[in-house]
Amino acid sequence: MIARSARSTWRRRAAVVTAMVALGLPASGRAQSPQVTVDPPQLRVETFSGQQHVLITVRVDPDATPVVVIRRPDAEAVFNRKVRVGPIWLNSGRVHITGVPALLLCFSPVPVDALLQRADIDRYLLDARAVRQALHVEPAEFDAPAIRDSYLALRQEDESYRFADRGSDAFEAGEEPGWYALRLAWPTRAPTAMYAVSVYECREGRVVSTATVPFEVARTGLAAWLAAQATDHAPLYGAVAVAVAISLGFGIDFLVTFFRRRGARHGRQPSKRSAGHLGAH
Amino acid sequence: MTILLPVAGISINLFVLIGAGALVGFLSGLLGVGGGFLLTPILMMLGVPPTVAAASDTNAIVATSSSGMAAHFRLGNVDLKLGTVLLLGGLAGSAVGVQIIKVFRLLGNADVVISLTYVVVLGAIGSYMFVESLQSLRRGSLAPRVSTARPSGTLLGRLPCQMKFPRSGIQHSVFVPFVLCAMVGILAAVMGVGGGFIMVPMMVYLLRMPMHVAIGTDLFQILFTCAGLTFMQATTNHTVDLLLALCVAAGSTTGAQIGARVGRLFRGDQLKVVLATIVLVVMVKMAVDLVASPANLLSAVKGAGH
Repeated sequence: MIARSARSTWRRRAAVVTAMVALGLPASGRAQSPQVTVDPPQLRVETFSGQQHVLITVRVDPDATPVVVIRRPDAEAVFNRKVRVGPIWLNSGRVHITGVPALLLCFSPVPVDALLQRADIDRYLLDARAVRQALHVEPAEFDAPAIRDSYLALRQEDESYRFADRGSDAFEAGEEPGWYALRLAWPTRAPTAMYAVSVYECREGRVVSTATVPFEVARTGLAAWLAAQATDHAPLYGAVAVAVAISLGFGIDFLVTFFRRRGARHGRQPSKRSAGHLGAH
Repeated sequence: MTILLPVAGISINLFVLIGAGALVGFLSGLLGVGGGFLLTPILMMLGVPPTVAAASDTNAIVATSSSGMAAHFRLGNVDLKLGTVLLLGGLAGSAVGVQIIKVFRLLGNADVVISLTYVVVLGAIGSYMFVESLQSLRRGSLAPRVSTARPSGTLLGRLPCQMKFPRSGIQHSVFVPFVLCAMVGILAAVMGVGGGFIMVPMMVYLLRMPMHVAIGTDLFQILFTCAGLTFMQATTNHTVDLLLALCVAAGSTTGAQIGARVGRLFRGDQLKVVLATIVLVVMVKMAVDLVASPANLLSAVKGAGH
């Protein structure tokens, strides 16, 4: 199990690194600027961990400004498409959206359009307009501006996308020039997965340098064990799920009845409206 | 207090899950409806992926219906004989319904059929039930209107394999509940929701069962249907989140107990009014959703509902 888990983690890391290379990003923080570190480097989420916090520290040249982006690699998203037929709105056909990250969180100390020219914003998908242009809609006949806007609205509603249109309060400038700290309450809706944390060093309207590190959010403890059982021993897991649910149902009923009878024995008479009255209906 | 859901892979506030379960369980115990129509959208709103929401709430409903059924069983409200016939009919109907929906999907009309069937069926049942129950309440009739006599003289009375169902106080050809429940099963499969909405009114108005026995017996068949669905979802899609289901079930089983006991405070006609009102509210929401311009042209793809 441990060996399989390690192999799975290695594969996911390899996939993230491949994605970074595809994006034209260096695969890890280098000694020269910019630098990015994530603390903790791997977020271990347990069943009752509660809200988790992440500290991202970046260093850029003192005359540059950083933009930090957290991405989850691209994944196809499938939605129902609503169309109007006469007076009725109906789901008609499935829309497949690709070419954009499943999760995209952008942070910068100042509005990103004040830092960068449009070409770089588009290239690194740093605002809603860039994502709208980059996403790919299948089938092509369903592609329309309204569909692209709807996709963005859905992603922003479920907090999968966040843009630095107005700058981010979470950024703190360090004591030394060029150092910044980004304190982030990790979104509880963000699924356990491999993420990439990138820092873009911005100067004179351009991204002059980048660095990216992988960041894994992984289950551990009971949650990890249950997730493994759900896939590795599915029939047993299914049977146990049914048995546990039935036991819980009957168990609660037993407890309620037990306490009700005990209450009745201790002086309270059971309700006169017992089962007998039900036959009258 | 947040809890990480192992299969969904996200964290959600524990008390919100228990509260959502309690609401659904209360309705289940009070009215015999499964609650899938409410629970799946609530879980999706909380960020649970649609396929996991649909599969896990099926598992939670197993717990809710066990709890509700146990309470009703002790009160003498579960007709096991009739429930078994209904269960078999429902399973047969569901199998046929799934094939029908496959054909409509191939023709590209599935969503039109589902939406319109939903509105028409719920509208017809809800309206009839509401008007009839109000008339009953106005008359103030406390006496049972359930005919325990054999329907000899009628077409139904001449059908073969007549069977007595003493708990419900009715007698029918075994084919009557089987075929009716198969039709409900077809509708439930086509509409993508459970039969509780349709099953309880059907038992009350067509089979002439007392309301409380209809609710208890409906919970009996929901238990078996959802247990089968949970197992299938777990083995084929791996989308059952046991922890999510248990959190919801912790609320819903308690809610079901309260619902069953609150139900005892009401007469059958009063419960019918409540059920009819909920059916009509759901129907109106469906109708409004059909004609109102949506806020978003895309919607999440759900898993199999119930």
